[in-house]
Amino acid sequence: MLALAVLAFLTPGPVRAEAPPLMKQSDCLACHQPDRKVVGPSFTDIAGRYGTADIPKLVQKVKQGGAGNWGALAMSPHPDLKDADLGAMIGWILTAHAPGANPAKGPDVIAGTKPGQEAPAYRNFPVIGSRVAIWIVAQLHLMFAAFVLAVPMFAFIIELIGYRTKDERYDHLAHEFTKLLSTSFSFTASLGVLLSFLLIFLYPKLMSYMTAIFGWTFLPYVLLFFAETVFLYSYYYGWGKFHPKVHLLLGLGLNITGMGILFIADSWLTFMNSPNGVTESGELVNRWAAVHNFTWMPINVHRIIANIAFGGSIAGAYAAFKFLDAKTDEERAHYDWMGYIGNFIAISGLLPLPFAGYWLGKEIYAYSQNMGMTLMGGAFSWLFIIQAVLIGTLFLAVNYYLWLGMERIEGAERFRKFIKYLLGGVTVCFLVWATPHSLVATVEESRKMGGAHHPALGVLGVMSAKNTAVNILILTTYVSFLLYRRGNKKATVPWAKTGDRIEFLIFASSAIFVIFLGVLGYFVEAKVRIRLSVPQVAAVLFAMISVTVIDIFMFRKAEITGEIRWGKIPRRAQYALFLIAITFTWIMGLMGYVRAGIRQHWHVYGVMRDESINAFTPTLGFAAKVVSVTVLLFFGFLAIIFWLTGLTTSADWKPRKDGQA
Amino acid sequence: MNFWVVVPMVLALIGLRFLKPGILLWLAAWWGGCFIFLRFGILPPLPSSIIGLFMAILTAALALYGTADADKLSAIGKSLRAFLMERRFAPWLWGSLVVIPLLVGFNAYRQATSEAVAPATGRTIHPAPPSEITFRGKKIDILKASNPFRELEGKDKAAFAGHVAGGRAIYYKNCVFCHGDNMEGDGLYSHGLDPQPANFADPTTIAMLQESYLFWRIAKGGPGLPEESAPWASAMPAWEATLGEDEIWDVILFLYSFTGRKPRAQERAE
Repeated sequence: MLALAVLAFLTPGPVRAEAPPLMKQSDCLACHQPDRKVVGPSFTDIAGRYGTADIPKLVQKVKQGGAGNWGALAMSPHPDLKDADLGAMIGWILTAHAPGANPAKGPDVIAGTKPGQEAPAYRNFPVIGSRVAIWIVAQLHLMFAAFVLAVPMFAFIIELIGYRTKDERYDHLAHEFTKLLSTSFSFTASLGVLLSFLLIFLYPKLMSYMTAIFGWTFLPYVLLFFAETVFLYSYYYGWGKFHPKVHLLLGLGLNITGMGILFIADSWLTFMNSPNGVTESGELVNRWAAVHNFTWMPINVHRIIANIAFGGSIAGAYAAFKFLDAKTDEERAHYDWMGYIGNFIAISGLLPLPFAGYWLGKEIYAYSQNMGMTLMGGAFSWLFIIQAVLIGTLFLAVNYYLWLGMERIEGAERFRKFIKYLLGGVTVCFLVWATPHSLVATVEESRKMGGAHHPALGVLGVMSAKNTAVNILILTTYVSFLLYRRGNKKATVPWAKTGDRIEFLIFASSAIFVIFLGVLGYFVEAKVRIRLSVPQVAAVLFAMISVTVIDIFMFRKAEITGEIRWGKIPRRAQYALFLIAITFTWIMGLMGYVRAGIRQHWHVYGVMRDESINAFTPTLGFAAKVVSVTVLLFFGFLAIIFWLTGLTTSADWKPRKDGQA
Repeated sequence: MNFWVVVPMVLALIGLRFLKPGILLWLAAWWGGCFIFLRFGILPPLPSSIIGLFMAILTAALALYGTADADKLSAIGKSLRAFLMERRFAPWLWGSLVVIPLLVGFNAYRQATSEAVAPATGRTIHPAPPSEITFRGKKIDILKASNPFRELEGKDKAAFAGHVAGGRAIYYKNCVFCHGDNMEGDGLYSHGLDPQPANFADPTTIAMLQESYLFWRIAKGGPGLPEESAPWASAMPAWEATLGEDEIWDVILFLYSFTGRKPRAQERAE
């Protein structure tokens, strides 16, 4: 229904005999319409009163203007028009609109539907415009696609863990994750079809160019899609029906085909950002180079990692939803555990993500310094402040979830006293991380500061401070996790005290090292400063890995002082899981806009200009609103998917006993 | 830092510790302390946008602290209940019923009586330069161009000093009126300008930019700013009408020499 209404809106009404060009150039049509009285009388009425013999009189009338013949409203004088032109125009009005002037006219045709006619470059989408329509649908499609790609990845890994450890729980969990898959898969496909239809309808010229460049990738894409469908449904419906190894192989096939689809789709959109393999005028020279353009691999890697983080967080939100809805302790225990695993997956994806993003940014700079500047220092840089706030929120929520998770561990109360220091660390880093370089200030305020940079705060706004803050954030979160892991364990090895001391030393020294390099960054050249981030990251990774190794050995034969009471987590922790999922989705929408938006008024950067009325860069506020609406829509769809997935386990319908239906 | 505010505040917080306050009072004290520090403790004062951002983060953090374990949460619940129900808190309760509306009313009064100001704007500090500009008919590649006199710094000290001196003369003839005697963006005319003239003494302005970027900004001024972050309100003139190519490079040398900053080096072309 909606689609029909939209189509009816899009198609223009019937057109009558064309007016001469002169008519369109002058201002006649502002007051006169063919069949309708507007300000002045309609052409039909005029032709009804006058005949061609009156033309000389009417020419003078139009030149002088005036009122009285048709009403009190005066017609403006038109002294600039030539008599001959006026004659021609009035002649057309009188003849084309005379009663019975168009006797045997064919049926009214809808403009632009002539076979073989060249397609227009653009069509417009009603109310919100083509750009926003494509924007929202593409983003929704992408979010679902990300989820559909991510779930098989960790379902496969969890199933593998279950197979190796012979722990049935993992197998059930993997199965539960895939339950979410089949509905989401259909949503992804439907949104993909909607996106293609919209693109073909709204942007015919761009699509014909893109098809010319990438037409040859369509067949493999479709074949992979068929293969993915077969793998997905055999993986899901075939759970427990095959030898575990065969089933795992199906899961692997699902992952490989999904990845292939992602890579092909990425080649299209990265080509639009950083076209390659074409001449300056955009003609294709090398097919493979167009696919393998500068940002293709960085986007592929960035998306795979981000998908894991995003998918984990959505799965965590599903578990939280089921937890809050659970009726029995058993259910609560199960979904508590599922939420914990989902969150764990999300964090594992989140931690390496900045490095992938860094690589992508670097490639964008290398491809076009202009684009890089627009991204990080120019019009789009404010979006990164929003991103920083959202990432800081993520870290807060993740730590909060871990601390609340300690409530389910007997004996973890002894770590509560550390929470305030961890929270202090996270908060200070968050504040630094979210400090903009140039502040939003009124004239008065900026005069007092002596410019857009605050003398004390400005130093927190640059890269050195940010890198330091995020590294310490990661380190602090890791400490929270470590405390959580130790919650119910007491090391029995004789060197436990020494081990603790060494771990503390490693943490302290890597934190000091990171901060030292951060401060050093202010005193060295930009070229050196950029490279300082590598040892910072290395120090954090070293600390995390070495401490993990020490901890594993230290707690090998640890005494278990209490049990983990799954399901005993407070309900407010589940809202933290929701917050994490929503924040992830929001960041994804925001960064998706940044990635596509930095092309600005280009369809294909530097090759094909966007010449439509939508070729402007939206204001940040508008962009943020569109992203937020998209996030809301996504969670609306997700609620439907959660409900549909829940149907598989709900009780069967039975006729009532008294015989009534 | 404004020590007249910060020191008493820290002392008050330390003093409060000895009174062993309930968790609720403690959170409120921290919240108030953070706000007072941000609003009055830092000099020059922070813009209200950043205070809002920081306080939002701090409020969230304090809320998480109060609910991060079961004991604290129940303590908060208990003190809230006591505050609302117990007789001994009645004066406080009534007091807050009076004080909070008064504070809100005062804030409304303050907002209504304050002078109208232009809305705060986020400023794009480093707009993306075009890859190439046309300077008096000559094409200059902004991404690759370098200061032709910079190499004299190591080779010919006297000639280099000559160029810096030339730049000094140009600066005091043309630039000083807005950018100021100390290049802090506070020249005589700066008080009439919004946005303020750039502050070159700030370590995050010219020290983070390549000399070719400065050349573009000086040559093309406010009118040459890119469309992407429009509308711009910069009053910087396009100096290509007045200054020659060498004169602009000279004045750039002087900017760095006077502030003691080093320009960002050109990245190696790949």
